[in-house]
Amino acid sequence: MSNRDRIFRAYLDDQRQSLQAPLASVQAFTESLLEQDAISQSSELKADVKKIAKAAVTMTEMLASISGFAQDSQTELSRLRHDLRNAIGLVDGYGDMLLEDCDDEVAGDYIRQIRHQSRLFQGRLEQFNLGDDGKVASDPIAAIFKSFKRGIIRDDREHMAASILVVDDNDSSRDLLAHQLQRQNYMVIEAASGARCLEIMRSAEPDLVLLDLVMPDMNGYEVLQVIRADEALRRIPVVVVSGMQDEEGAVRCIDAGASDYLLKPVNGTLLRARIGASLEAKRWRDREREYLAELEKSQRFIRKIFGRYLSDEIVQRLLDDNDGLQLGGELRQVTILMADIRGFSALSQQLAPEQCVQLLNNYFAAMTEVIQRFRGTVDEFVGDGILVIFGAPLSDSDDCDRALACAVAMQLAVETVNERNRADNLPEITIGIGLNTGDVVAGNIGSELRSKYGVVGHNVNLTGRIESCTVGGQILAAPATIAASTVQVLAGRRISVSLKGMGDAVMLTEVLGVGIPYDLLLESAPEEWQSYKENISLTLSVMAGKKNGAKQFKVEVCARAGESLRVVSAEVLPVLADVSIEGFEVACYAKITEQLSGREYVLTLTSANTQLRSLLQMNSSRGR
Amino acid sequence: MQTILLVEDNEMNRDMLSRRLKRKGYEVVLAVDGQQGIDMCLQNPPALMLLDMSLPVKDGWQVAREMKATPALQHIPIIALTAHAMADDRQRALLAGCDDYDTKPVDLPRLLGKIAHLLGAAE
Repeated sequence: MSNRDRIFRAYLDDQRQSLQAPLASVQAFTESLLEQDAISQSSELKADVKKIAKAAVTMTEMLASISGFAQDSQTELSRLRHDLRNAIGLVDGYGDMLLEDCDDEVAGDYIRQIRHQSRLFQGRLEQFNLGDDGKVASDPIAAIFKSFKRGIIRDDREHMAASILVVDDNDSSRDLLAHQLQRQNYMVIEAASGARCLEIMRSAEPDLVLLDLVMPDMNGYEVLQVIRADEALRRIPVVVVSGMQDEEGAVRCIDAGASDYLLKPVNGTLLRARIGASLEAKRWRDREREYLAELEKSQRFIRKIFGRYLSDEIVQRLLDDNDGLQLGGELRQVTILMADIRGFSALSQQLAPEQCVQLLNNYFAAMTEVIQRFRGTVDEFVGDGILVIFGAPLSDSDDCDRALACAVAMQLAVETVNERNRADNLPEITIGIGLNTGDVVAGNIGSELRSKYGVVGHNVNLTGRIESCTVGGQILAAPATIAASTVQVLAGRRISVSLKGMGDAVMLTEVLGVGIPYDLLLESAPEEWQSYKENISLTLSVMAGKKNGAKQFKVEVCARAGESLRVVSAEVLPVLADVSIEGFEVACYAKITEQLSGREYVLTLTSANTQLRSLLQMNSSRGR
Repeated sequence: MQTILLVEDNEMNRDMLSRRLKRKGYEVVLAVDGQQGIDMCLQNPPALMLLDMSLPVKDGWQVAREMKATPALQHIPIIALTAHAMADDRQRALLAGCDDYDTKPVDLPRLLGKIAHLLGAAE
């Protein structure tokens, strides 16, 4: 047989099967109809149902002639089409009359199903064309078969005919089996050798294989062994059909992975029963596998989407909890943590872009690890800033405590980051952290194309403002956070600030540590003030936003403790204002952190260049 | 009640279509081949003839031509029914003298519309 002929044969078989499938469904529905009391108790209705069944059988038989068509069988096709149109009209006509005569609901449904199958059939009949072979793909049987199966699934999922691969080297016994199966409305494909069997199993994925044992080249046992070793093939049940009447052979087959064993000549009823049982078992396994695959797919998706933002534990809990995935907008009480590298803008100006990225990556890697440990949700990385939520998407009674502990742990982790930075020849950093607790709207925010889980609301903005009051190494918490905490908080100074949009002054608490079970303490034992013998004069410009403002102050530095400078000013200085220190080649920044007494203030450096540092150092050493 | 003569060789089709027409209020008489159809028309002319075109011995085209060539029968409207769906089928049926044409499988509401139209025109 030439390749072209093979393709054409396969095409015809496919067309025949696709036309026979709706007819098989029609027949099945007529059988169900006859079991309905509304039908079986009326001889007229029963007779009409039987006429539908008869028409379906007649058409199925007519369709057998397709297999004998040649590419120029236009006349035969025209004749067949004519006869089929006549016959399908009977299905429609009797169906319509039954619908008029029978007001039983269940029976009505069956009849409508019959009408549906009839439309399906008519559509396919009109499509059927002998000239269509050009479309057939290179592995015709597999391609056609697959597309056919898809078509069936689309059209009438519930009545999909199972596909059975019949493997036998003997043409007549293969034909006999194929014929028996076709009569039972299975879709049948045939293979004449073990090798072809495996090929078709891989490409067309039949629902069941009927396998002959005695074949040349590759016998049934060998086929079974290959199937058993292949995970994809193992899913397809194999029923062995053998002429050998021995129990031992049956046992051997079952051992080799066969689902069942039938003896030749095959009894039709037995065949039907065994196939039915094997298919049923496969359907359940398939369903289970599909379900698991679906589950795994969605879990992979969730991990991928949320993994970057949520701790593993929260992802797992979301997956375990059925309702956890409904991340729509909702009002939630959360504790918000915002961290920022102090003086990062100035720092970044001194660094090459790739150094800047490396610095941020060192920093984010260390911080993400800490945040995950305390089950925080990283909502956003903005520039050098991190926004972390505790209490969404899942809330816990210790959200606030974990946030406080996380803040302290983050400050402690900065030292690790700096070790790394020193090794990478990058500048050291300090971070400030603001904490706030309150209601936010949490949910998937964004458009359909791009959305992420996040929080919005006044309390988020407020956290940002609290954070901007910090200096390097400092944690400031809102009163709500302190009130909501159940863990012991080691509080440092209390700082009263007026925050934009907050009306009255807010009393922020400096957090120095959290108690059991976290037991974390900031190590920064306050350094001793060291006085300068000679004051150092500095000019400060109050910054509005991040641009240098107009207002300037002259201050005298009289003592130093670490990054803090004690300064005396003739004028009143704005507490918590960010200032730039004038007169240096590279910009230096500081924050006015505290008013000590009338004219004495504490100025904390957030970004100092070497020029300023050496100036302060020289003077400092003179002070010892 | 108006009488429709259904000329159809297939028994099941005859049974089905005649019953459906009866339900719609027509009296239906049946002929199993073309010659019988013509004979029945001569004996007792129906109000309309539904003519299957693929009949054995004397096919529908022939029947239509004979009917329209017979003065006593040419007033009987004929609707050709065919399961062929060639593009020129309709043209051929009309040329043979049929008054209208419909395809199988029959779409009953459509066919009833054509019947009513022809019977209305014949009155």
